[in-house]
Amino acid sequence: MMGDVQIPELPDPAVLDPIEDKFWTPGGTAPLDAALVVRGSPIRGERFLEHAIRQAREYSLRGANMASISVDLVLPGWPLERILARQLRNYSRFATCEVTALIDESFAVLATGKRPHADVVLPVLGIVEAERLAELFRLTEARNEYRVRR
Amino acid sequence: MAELDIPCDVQGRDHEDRLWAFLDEAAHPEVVVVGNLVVTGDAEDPVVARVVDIVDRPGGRKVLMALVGGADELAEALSRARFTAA
Repeated sequence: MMGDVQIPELPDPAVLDPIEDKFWTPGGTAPLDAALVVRGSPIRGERFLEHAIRQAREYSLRGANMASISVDLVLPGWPLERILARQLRNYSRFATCEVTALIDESFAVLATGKRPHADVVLPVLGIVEAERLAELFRLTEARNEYRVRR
Repeated sequence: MAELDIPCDVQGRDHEDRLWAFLDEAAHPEVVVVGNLVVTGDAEDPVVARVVDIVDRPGGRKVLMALVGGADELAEALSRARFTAA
């Protein structure tokens, strides 16, 4: 199914909401004590690309369309278990990746929205980068034991 | 696996904790109407949400939704109540 996602014409970033207005740290830098990011499944490139396109239609970053996916940061006060039970309460599976691994692979990690939310920004909006990002998470994919279920 | 009315990223909410997507992503745009319940999220872990607003944005018509719960949670609640549609 990879490659089925079509990238639409994106709006002029000048008229989008700047994500800079939604940073919860100075400059949006991930806190130094944020070691891990958590993402709900499915961990698939095409799904990541769909989310990144949606973001790029709504937000700008440094004057360009922002192609990103939402994640949550494991932080003091926000251990993994709390994130799984709250932010990811409707996800049956999840995966994690170290912040440094993402940055080493040229994905920016920005503290956006409300703590502990963050965005992982793709260098380029496309299936190659989305699949490369998914690959960084995929090996850690696990069942969410904290999911609300029947 | 469920057939969604409109997909969205349940992990990526707005500042009011609402789910959102663009109307042109909907498989069933006719049911994506303010006040309606829709099945959204991802086909693997669908959720039910109420459409609370549809606004024009530069990127398209943006659908804002309030999460009600997981589709399986709702199905279980209805089953527990022995509810069947008339």
